[in-house]
Amino acid sequence: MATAEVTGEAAAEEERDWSDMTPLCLAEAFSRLRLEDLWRGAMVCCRSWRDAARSRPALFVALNLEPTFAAVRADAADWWTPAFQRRVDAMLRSSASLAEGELQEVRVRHCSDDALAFAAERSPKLSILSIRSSPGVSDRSMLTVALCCPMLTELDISYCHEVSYKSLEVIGQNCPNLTVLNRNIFNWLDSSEHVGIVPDAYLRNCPEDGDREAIAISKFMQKLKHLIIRFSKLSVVGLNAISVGCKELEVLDLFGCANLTSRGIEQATSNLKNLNKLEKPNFFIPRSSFHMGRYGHWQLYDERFQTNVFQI
Amino acid sequence: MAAAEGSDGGKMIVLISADGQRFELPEAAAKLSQIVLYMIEDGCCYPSIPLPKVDGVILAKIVEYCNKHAALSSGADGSSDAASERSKERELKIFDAEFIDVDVTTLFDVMMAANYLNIKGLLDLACQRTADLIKGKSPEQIRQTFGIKNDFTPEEEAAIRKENAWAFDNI
Repeated sequence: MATAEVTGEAAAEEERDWSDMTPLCLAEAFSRLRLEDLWRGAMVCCRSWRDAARSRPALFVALNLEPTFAAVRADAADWWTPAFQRRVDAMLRSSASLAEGELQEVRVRHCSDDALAFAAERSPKLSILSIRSSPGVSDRSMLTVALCCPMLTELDISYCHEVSYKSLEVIGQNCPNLTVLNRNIFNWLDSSEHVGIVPDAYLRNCPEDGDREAIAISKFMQKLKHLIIRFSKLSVVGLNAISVGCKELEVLDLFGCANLTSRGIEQATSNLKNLNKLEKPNFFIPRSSFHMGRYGHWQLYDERFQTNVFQI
Repeated sequence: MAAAEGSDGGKMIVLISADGQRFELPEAAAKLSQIVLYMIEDGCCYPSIPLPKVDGVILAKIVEYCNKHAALSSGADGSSDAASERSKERELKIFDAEFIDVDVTTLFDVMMAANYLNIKGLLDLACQRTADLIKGKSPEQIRQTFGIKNDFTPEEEAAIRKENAWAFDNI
């Protein structure tokens, strides 16, 4: 940052008032900033810069916190607190207001029902919505999303336990352009990676009804191209429904779907002519979880156990 | 003859800065400015084009930019093989990087002039440089870099802290 310091000194000697810069040029420069630099830096340094940013709603077309979440790498326990939810909510509300209807992309985690409904009501152009790990979000705000955001193309409601198959139905009915759905649930075979981060009560009580969700998807989301349902508890009944309903699937991720058999998957996916990426349940089951030393790997016992006896 | 001719036979355009300095440049270079282009098309560019909002020091820089870009823009010399295109692009990139590596006062003037003259490439360059100077800085550091005064009232400061809170602070 040596250059910045040098220029800072030069500016002090000569008189050019950057708060007088044409708002159009400022907004143009701001459009080249990451949201964080705009949000915490440029927008809060003086009145005219703030006004310049606010005069261009297009600067707020996307609220993508995913890179910041991802930078921490692992899930963090601090995120699963009401205090953090309030912070995310505040950002979501501000973004929806600043965007003045232009909001197209929201990638957050841990938002609440009210904040999501607030944003959805103000964002008729919303195309991408990712609210994974939001324990506060329920079918109520998802209904608002379905009714207010008909242009939705991508939805991620992974780890949102209060969102049920009803939301999938109403989203499917109202958002005909939906092509990507993420609906992962926590690894229930071996939850060690989540223990101590996700509150225990939440981790243990996942109400997901895999087959009912699969059937809702197959009936109402027939344009889906990508379906990612890691660790879903769906059975071959649900998978068959999907393979009949969602003919356009290109990517299907069934990692950890332990109630499926490889034979069932093979039969169901043979209907999917466009499928070019299939992630099978294939994963290593730690012996400690099942005390089944003989069958250390999924594929080994796959053919032997056809039912969902492994459900915890 | 109405127009002056350059050494290569192309028409030359004369720009006059606010402080009366004359700058002569090929029409192809002058046309990078939309404003000048319109004046040329309307035929009101002779004997010269006065630019009362741009002073000589900055206009000299603008002319330098336009000359370089016009000279190196694709197909200017008829050769169009991929290798020479790439080397021209590289040269332009290096030129741009050096050109815009200026103090914030000059940057301010260049940006204003590029906006006024409507030279898209130069405006983009100046905006990118401005953005680069903002990146990764706190509001106070930004104020220092650009010599801006904090003119928010305490009430506004409080509202801003609320409206622009960043979810990941102090967690």
